[in-house]
Amino acid sequence: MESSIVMTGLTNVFTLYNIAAILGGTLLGLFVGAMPGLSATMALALLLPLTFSMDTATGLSMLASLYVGASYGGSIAAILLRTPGTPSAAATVLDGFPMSQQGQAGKALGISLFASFVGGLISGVALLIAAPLLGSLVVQFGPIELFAIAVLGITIIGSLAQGSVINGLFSGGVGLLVSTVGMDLTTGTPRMTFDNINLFSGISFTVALIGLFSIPQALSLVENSNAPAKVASRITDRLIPKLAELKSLMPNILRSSGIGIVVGLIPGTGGDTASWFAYNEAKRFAKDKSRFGQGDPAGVAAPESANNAVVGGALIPTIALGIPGSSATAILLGALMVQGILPGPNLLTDYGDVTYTLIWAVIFANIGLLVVGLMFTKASVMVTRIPDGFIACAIIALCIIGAYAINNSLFEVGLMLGFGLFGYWLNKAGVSPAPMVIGLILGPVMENGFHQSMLIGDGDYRIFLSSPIAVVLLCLAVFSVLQATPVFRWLLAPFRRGTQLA
Amino acid sequence: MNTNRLLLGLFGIALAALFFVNALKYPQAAAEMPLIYSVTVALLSLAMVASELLRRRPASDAAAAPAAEDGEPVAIRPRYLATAAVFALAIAYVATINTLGYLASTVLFMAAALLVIRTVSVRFALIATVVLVAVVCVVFVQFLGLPVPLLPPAIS
Repeated sequence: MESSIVMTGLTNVFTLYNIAAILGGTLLGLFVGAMPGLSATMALALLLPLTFSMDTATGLSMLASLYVGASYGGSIAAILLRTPGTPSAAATVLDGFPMSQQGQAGKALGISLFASFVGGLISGVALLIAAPLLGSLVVQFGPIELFAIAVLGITIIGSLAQGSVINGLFSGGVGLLVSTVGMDLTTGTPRMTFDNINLFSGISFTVALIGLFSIPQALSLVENSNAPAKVASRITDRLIPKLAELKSLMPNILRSSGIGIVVGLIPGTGGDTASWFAYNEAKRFAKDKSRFGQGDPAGVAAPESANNAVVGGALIPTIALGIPGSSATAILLGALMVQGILPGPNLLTDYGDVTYTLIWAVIFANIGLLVVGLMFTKASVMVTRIPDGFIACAIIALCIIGAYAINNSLFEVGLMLGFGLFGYWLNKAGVSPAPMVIGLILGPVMENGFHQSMLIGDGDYRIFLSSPIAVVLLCLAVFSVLQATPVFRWLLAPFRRGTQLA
Repeated sequence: MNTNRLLLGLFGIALAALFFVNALKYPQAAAEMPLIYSVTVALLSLAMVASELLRRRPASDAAAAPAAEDGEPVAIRPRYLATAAVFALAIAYVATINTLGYLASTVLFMAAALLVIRTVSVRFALIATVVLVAVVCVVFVQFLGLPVPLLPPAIS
């Protein structure tokens, strides 16, 4: 590990302006996460155009802190309204809401805050240690391995996304297809541009991102705007938990943080998977399992530490391999792309200073979360009272100005609305838009890797079998698809029968 | 059967066909990836259509269903008409930014959309819209220097 680059990243973040950006981003994330129906991804997508004019370190600090803040903010609505603010806070409802009904809303929120802080901090440190180690392994990768990594990235995300493997891969495939729009860099041929000059430079990743993640949420809020408003529970007790309580919860928090990091490492899985996994493990390890679901603090600490630990975990493959672990990390990768940094294993070598800035921003964002959380958690209850109808209209207005800010082009605003409508359709069909966004990012990486490999191999497709690493990665890609199909269950059936008989 | 997924599968086939036919006109190096991707998307779309047609029991739309209260499902009628109207208003909003200016078009969009939704009180809508427009102007116009026309061309 180049200690000078690590220190450069630290000094980039550790300025008064950037610390203010971290606190501001965390507060914004806290409020967005607390609003039911709004996700961290949507907030990140909306904030991304704002960071264009910012200094790299400031922009990354703000985005990372918003992501961290929203991961905790989701628990506020889960505990007080019985509605998870973000999907990853769904498991927190089980014990968080019963605690608030018992007059322990402050205690539940305090445990959630401290668990989120510990989980996030541990994952940030894990990111600081693991990403360079993994990065040093992949630094020698050539175009063949890069192509294989991109294929693995898209198949693993497609296979693990919500719904069936076909739906996930379809979404990823459409993303790859859309990534080919624009001028081909090898031959200079305009592809799928319909002689429209606005399409010659391709479809901006940010435009697609804002449309796919923000407009569908706004339309869903309008669709369900006649639902009765929920009344938030009051916070009558203290927010800061007792030291003895935290001490007794620490083994659970540490275990759940580990689960969050490992789950985050797997591209395609997210905070929701990690929080349910951690909740189940906390229940399994508990002496008195009957208290779970009745307001056990361990049932709040486990999912909250796990979903915040996912942040650092998901950034490990993003930084080391250039494969975004989730839609939110895809946006953070997009923020790097805005700064002219191309995704890939060279993130840690060629752009080490910027990458370490992001890593340190994640660590500082968790410290900022503790400060902001203690100061503003009670105030964030107010944002849960904003009517859904107004939030929906405000999101659309912000999407439009945000998309316009990218290139000052109304054509791109129209394109964003088109992506928004498509994203709404995907939601209705139960297809996740996340693989599509990842496909848009990995498309050019895959195409460049493919062309360069074919040049090396003199047009022979067997070139992809010449590298043992590429073969392993491609086998893993095939496995990731097969494991989600009936073929895999059919292959495993004899072994299962054998186990049952034994 | 999820009709939306079935239609999405058919759309995927049409999209793949469009990309495939266009790619046939490109030089070989430019056509390779669009051809590979379009064939992959077409096959996945076909699989999606086939799986929907073969599905006998109706697809559960649990993810889209409203949250349950006390274990009982809450019967909320989705407001599809209002959703379509708000989206149409968003298109009109984009179309009028250059003519009416950003301020007037934003206020008109917010007023019309909130009128369609009808769940927000007039006082809240007025105050919140003013705050929203002010924040957007400060952040995007003052801070980012976005060259968006704030007023109609005749006045500015």
